[in-house]
Amino acid sequence: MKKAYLGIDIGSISTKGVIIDEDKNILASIYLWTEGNPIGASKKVIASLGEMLDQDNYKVVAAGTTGSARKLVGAMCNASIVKNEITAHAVGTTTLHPDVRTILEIGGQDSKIICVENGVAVDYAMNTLCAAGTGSFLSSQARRLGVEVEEFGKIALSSQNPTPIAARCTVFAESDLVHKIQMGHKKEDIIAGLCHAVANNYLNNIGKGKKILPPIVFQGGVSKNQGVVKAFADSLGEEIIVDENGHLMGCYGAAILAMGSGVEREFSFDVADMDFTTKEAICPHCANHCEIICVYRNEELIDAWGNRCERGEIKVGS
Amino acid sequence: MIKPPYRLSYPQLGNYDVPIRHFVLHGLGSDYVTPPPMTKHTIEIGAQNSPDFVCAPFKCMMGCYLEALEKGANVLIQTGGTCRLGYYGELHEQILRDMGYDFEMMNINLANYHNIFGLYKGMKKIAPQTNLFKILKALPSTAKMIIQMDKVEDYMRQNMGFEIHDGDFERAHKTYLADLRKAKGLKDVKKAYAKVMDTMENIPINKPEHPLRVGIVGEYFTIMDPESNHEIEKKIAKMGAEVHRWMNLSNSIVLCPDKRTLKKLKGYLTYDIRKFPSSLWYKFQLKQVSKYAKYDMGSSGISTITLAEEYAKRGYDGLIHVKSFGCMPEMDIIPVLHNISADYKIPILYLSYDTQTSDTGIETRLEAFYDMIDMRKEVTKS
Repeated sequence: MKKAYLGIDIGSISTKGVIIDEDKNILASIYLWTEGNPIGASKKVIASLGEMLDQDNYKVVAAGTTGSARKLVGAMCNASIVKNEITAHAVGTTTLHPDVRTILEIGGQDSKIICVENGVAVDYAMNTLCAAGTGSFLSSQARRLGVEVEEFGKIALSSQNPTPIAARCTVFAESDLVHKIQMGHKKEDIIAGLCHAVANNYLNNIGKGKKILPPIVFQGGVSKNQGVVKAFADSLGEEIIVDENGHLMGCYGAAILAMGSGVEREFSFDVADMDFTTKEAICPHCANHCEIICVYRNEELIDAWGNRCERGEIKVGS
Repeated sequence: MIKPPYRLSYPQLGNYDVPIRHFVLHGLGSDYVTPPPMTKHTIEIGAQNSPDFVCAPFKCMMGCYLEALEKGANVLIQTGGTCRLGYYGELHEQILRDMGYDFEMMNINLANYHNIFGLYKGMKKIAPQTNLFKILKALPSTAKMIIQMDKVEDYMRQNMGFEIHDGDFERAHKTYLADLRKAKGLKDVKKAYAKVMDTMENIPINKPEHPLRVGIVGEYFTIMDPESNHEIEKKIAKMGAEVHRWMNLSNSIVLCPDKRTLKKLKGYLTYDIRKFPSSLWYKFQLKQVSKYAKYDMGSSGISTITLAEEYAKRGYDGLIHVKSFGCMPEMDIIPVLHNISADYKIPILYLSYDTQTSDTGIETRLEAFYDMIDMRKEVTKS
């Protein structure tokens, strides 16, 4: 029986899962939409991974979770490690591309830049207080234009003359966009302009003050959009590497971190059939009104969090 | 018009309500209304009654004033500043008056108060029963309290991440504050300090020889108020780091950097409150960072640059820059911090705070920052 490690990345838009062996080779992987239901999506991910894995020869000995619902799913599948997505992405990418110097990442709700030196992250930035230029902006604009977001890249590449669109802020970009549509600009030009807006917004905000050195790896859901890839290549004057597994970097990193943690915890694919529910409780002790989340497995409390002080603590098993 | 008895109040800023209350009670002989500890509710009502694009400290202070007025305060104190804060006193006053509250505003920023003598005149107005003797008597114990409180907190920040029993340091600190609240004079203040330092030094810790060291720099209010900055110091310390922060009341307004007695005396006598955070410091620091900055950008800008460079020189593993969203002075110096980051190869995490209440985003960024400087240290060590 060989050891295997599971990593799950539960993002705002999509949920990704991967199983790796001890040599960090990917044994199984899956990518699906979160659809506002992190528990359901993770269960589906676990079930599909369980089917794909050769369970007679491999046994999952540790699991790692990352992404915005990492804590919830971490409690669900008894994870050895629960890590933030920045660290997970850095670890995952530097494992596959040891010589990388800059990692550009645009996801559904956030975007980040990680600078790497000698295989270790030395600086990073993540968007704060603003979701401009992320995947969800692109998909809402796709809906407005009546185009599938997956088609965006191809359409953008067909444009000869991208329409300039204000990149400063999503709200400004959107009103600029509506204006340009009504003025009669061609759809493919507008789509190409949007891709440029996303890239420029990223470089002006997240990338400000950071030295972007090659090799540059671009990942996250938006990296599947060739229009944005081209916009980055044009603006930076460098080759942009997009890994075919780029969307899996977060969960791949989580799996590697689970392996590196040295903590082996029992993991069972039966999690997919168990019933998980959450309940929200408001702590009554002061005006902070902390929202405490309690997680139940088959109606048994397994974890709780959200309190700011010990007065709101809910102990498991009491 | 408000008639005596006067009940003074100043917005919550960290734990500094303790020395302020001490001074008001013993130096001015007036009543002090401690605003309730800041909570979500404070910030909510503050934001509701503030202009939308004003900085978060304004909104926090607004909430504190409202809660203090509800608790019976009738004299509100406001300090000045060399950024937008310079007008906050007037704006707070106007908004509160429009809401129908009756109170007196002691706006230290107004021109006739700008030095020690003016300040005395101002104080006489809201505390007619006091005299110079009483004030001079209460000053040493108040100053000592501020200086020692900051020392205790410095010690705590640098060690609480390595405590073996979770919560030891915070418990000791809580007892200390309770002791200080009861202190009547200099003797009690010193006794409380000796007691807490004895307790803290005996707390079992497991500190490595070369721990991760993180310096915190940034905007005056947000950096000093844990409720405003979502307790980042505690959070990063608990991950296992030694946390350093120079900016506090003692370093910014109580202590004079000059060692010579005459110069010191002159510094205090010509104290200019309008040059906030302090006329004692800014020329001194401006000289120190002349390589990076020629002019003062207002508020704590120069201190942020000075300390960022100093921490970088000392070889710290990372810096965290905190500011309220839209804080002009701190925004203006970010390019300088980029230069320091590049010159000394030190990563800087930039955090902007508004009135958001969720911790998750901040925790994610802090955790990632900690992981990064930790892995970086591992690699450079070998």
